[in-house]
Amino acid sequence: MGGLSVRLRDLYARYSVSADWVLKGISLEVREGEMLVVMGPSGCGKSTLLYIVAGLLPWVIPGVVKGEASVGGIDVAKEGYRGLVGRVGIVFQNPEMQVIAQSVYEELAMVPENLGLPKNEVIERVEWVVNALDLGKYLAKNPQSLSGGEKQLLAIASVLTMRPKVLLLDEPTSMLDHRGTRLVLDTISLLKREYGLTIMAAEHRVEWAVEVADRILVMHDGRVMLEGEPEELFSRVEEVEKYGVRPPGASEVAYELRRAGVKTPIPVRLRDALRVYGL
Amino acid sequence: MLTGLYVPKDTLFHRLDPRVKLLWTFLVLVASIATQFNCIKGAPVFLSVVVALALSGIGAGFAALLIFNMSAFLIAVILVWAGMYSSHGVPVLELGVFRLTDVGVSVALGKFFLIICPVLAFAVFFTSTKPYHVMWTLDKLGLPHKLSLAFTISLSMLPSIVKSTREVIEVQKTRGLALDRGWPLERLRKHIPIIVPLIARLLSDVWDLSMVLASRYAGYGRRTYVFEPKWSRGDSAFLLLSLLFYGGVALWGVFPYA
Repeated sequence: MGGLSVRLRDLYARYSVSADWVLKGISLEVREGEMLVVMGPSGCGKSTLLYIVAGLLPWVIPGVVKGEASVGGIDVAKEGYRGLVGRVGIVFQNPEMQVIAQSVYEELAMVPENLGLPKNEVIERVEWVVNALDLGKYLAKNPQSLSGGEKQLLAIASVLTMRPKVLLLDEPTSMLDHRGTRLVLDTISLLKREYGLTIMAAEHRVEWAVEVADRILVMHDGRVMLEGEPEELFSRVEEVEKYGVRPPGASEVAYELRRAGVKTPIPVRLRDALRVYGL
Repeated sequence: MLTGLYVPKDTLFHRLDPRVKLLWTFLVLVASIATQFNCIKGAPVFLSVVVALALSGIGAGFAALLIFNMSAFLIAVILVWAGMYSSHGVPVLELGVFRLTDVGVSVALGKFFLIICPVLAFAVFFTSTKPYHVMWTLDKLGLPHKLSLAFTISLSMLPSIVKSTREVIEVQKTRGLALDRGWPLERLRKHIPIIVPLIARLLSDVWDLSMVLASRYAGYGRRTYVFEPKWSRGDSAFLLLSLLFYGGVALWGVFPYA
């Protein structure tokens, strides 16, 4: 992994509609090419954290941000989302709200068109993302006829035409079925593996988080409580559960076996569990 | 989400340059204003718009809805305007205090055409033009891009609003809300459980949409359009014919003895 991509230091944030701080002194760093998954119960501040990194809070969403937040050396709180063109792209949880255009091509061309790039560059970027994510089969379709997973894939592709260095995913699979989740998960893995994107994701689904994350961060009540690589973090089952995060099924089973006196390591992924138990 | 009023078809109107269609719409508006006091002079404008409606290939359901609303509006207009002109001209119908004269009918129909023709013309424009090209047209006309964007998005959200309204009504009906029972005032009061959640839902949708649009840099500056319509000979011919036809009708309307 490369240099520093995202740096937050002693970050506080709140929305204008409330006097309570949603983030309370968050400090973290994300390196280039790293995938960080932020977990925690609803209302713990996961999405707020992403909105700040995306430059949306306080620029689009009224609120107050205190502390240091920078992406690629740019002061996000000062420059806002307009200062992050080509650096940060964000995908939200509801695929229905993110597919706006009347055709898949128009949807993909939207960001570079909005940025006023020359026509040939818009076309070149659309062709790149179509090839990169194998979207050719969707081009002739009406975006409204796509499944939830396909719409979310389209939303990710649309953001990628911005050529961001950092991709933010705000619970991208929370509204998707199993098939849709798999589609999005495969895409994220591809982006990480082939294109070395820095990815920050807020996520509830622990099984997919441990599949793709380099590092997991557990938040509770606006603070970072735990942080570490998936294997290390979920070996602390009790601690993780204390902060409202359910460990992966494989870890839970191993933890219960341990409590019953069986000497076993705690795997986090199903494939690790199968290997550990010789299955 | 932003499907707009656009109906995908391959018709004469769909193939026309959006600028020509918009100019045609304004010509309809001008001709309707010029002929508003005489239904005979306004009739060619109305007929031309009905023909355009058929040529734009909009769905039968949408056409039926337009026609139904038109007839309800026609009755309302006749009652108001014919009543105002009841002392002018020759009576054609007298029902108690209600007196319908030939002048009253002519003015009422003229006023009806004045409202309905531009409405139908704009319906033709929006059903045959993609929101993408509506925005392009407004940009080309020199409107600030943010305004073009705001206008296009608000217009494009209309079907979503209708869909949301239907969904909220269905949900409230399953909870026992009976909108078709009771006195008019009671029926009106029964709409409160629809309006409140509908507004809450629309606000939430608009909020989500604004986040998506901001993160996609909508309204960032001068926009590029990959799909730009090209002005063809057909466009020029259509515009010329429209100018001659509506210009002629407008002159006929402005000069009483023309």
